[in-house]
Amino acid sequence: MAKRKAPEAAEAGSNKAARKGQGQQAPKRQPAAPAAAAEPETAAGHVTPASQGFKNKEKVLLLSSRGITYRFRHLMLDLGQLLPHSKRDAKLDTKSERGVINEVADMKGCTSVLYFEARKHKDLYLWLAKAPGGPSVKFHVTNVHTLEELKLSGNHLRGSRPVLSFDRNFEEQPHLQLLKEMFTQMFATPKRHHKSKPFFDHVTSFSVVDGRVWLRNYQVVPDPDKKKEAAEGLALVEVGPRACLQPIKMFAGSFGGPVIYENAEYVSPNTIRSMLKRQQQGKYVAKVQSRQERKQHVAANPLPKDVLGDVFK
Amino acid sequence: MAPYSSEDEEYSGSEEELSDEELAAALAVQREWAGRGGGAAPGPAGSDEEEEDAEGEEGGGGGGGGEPLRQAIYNVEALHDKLEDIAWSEEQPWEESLALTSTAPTAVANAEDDLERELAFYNQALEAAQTAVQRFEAAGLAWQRPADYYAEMVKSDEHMAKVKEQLLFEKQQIEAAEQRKQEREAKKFSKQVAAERKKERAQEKKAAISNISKLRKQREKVGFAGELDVDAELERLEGGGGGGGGRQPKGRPGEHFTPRDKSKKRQQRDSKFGFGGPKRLRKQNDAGSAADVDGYRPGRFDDGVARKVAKKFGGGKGGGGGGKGAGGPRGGVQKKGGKGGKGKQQRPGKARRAAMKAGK
Repeated sequence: MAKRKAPEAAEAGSNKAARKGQGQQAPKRQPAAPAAAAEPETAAGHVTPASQGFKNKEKVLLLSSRGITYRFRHLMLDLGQLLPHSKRDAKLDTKSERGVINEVADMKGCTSVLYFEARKHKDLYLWLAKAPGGPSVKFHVTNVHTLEELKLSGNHLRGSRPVLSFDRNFEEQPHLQLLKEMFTQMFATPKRHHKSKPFFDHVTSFSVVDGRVWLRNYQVVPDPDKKKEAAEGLALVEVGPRACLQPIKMFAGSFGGPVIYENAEYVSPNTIRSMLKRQQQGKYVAKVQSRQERKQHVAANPLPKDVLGDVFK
Repeated sequence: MAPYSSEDEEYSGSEEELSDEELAAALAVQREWAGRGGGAAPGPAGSDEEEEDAEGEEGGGGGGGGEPLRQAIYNVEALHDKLEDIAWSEEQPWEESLALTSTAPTAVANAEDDLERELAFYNQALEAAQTAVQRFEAAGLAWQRPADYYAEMVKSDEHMAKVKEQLLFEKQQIEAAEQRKQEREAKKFSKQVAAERKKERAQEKKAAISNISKLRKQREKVGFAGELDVDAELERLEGGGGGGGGRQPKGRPGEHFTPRDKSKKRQQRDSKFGFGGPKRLRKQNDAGSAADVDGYRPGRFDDGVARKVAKKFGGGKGGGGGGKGAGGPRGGVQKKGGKGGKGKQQRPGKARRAAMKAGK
């Protein structure tokens, strides 16, 4: 299905309102690729004065569950630094009743939620949700690197608006299209946000590799000598954080509702750990058995008597 | 500062808690599991087979023999609905979101290969940055931060100082490694040079020996007539044969001074007091000196009995001395023996001297 739709989806970068109107009559509505994700081919001159009626009022709630570890907490705080339009709230006490989060978001006036759910002090799940009406996505987070790391040597202004770089793969499948739209809305700092700064010095990139979404953040360093064209002389230095997000499920509602996507490839870390243990469990038994077998073998096959054995006695 | 640093962890390890072997095992497990569950091949999530399963048109027969646990849900309709629900109500200028999509999909053959993967991400981000800058420039926006614009950064100055330190440290380590490598190379080369020099010396020695034998033959022919000036003759021979290689003068600069003619007195003193080398242990016995019985004269064995006998029979010449020095220090043997040989009157013991004094 997705494959058949993919080319159409890729070319569907155009008028959103028209598409929506069409959608009412058409039996199968086409996915509207977010208008914001303009085609790169249309290139320069695309920057137009902001339209009058629209104002991006996105606010992101940053929230963690109880029992979060330091590294995951740092990841959350780092993301908070990247999103000047985010609000933080106290750790959530419960892991079962996630509906509470919607209420928290409502109280804080947030339209979307990033919820970091830590389990067993080693597994991190990240929920991305549009607050009142959904949808929501649950990711398994691996490969976490935070801003504290000394090998990530870049730095950029706090609150400068990032350019979001998306992989072309995001256009290929319906669930990735939805993910792209959610990422765009959450990570794009609203224009003229009071905490934002009017300069461009970092790129936040999202790529799809191996069925996972890889999150990276780079500083943009212009050519110091200004010998080349501004766009040609750019270099990137990674700032962090890094994370790898494997989608597990997508729900129609916010933190609930019917499942609209499920990742068949996803294996929970619990399963992996138990399988590993199972692999190792036979170790002792095998050792004992081989020892016994050896004993029997030696008993059954005595060495032939050495003719010269007692010559030097 | 967080309570951890990057040193204690692998920079781009795939799973923080697992070691490499464990990780490999885990991956194998994961593949196997994914292959079994859902009846889907362990390919990408959007493979044809899976889509068919998701739409429920073909039933669950598409699996690979194993019982499919549950069909993965993929509700395309609902996904599209939701996308339309949340999308912004009308087309907005690019400036609102600053989102860009890469022209080509980011393809990574092996996601485990850190370098390849990160390079692909970098290229994707770079393309976006370049496009963004082009657009800013076209719109005439001042996108670059002025040099005198100071504002809060995501990383503090202290942290950046640490980063700098780390970078310097890494650079130093690399340089040190380079240095060591160069030295190793030089050492290898110096060995070659030494071997060359050795060879040259051997050749010189051989030539000198052949010269001397030649000279002897010549002298034999002449019948050993006349006075022989060896040095001059050799000079002549070498000059004739080697084409004037020339011997270097004896006292060339830089050569260590070697005293060839020590006076007898000096030699004597050197042997007595020692010359050069450590002075300690000089007078101590070692295995060789202890076994040395050169100075042992049975007749001169000094055990008091001999002395008494000598005294009784009016001897007293060379009675003592020698025996004591028999196993003694090197060089001390002759000296003591000599002393005994001289027959110098031995000084009486203390008690006897006192008695003699009293007797006076």
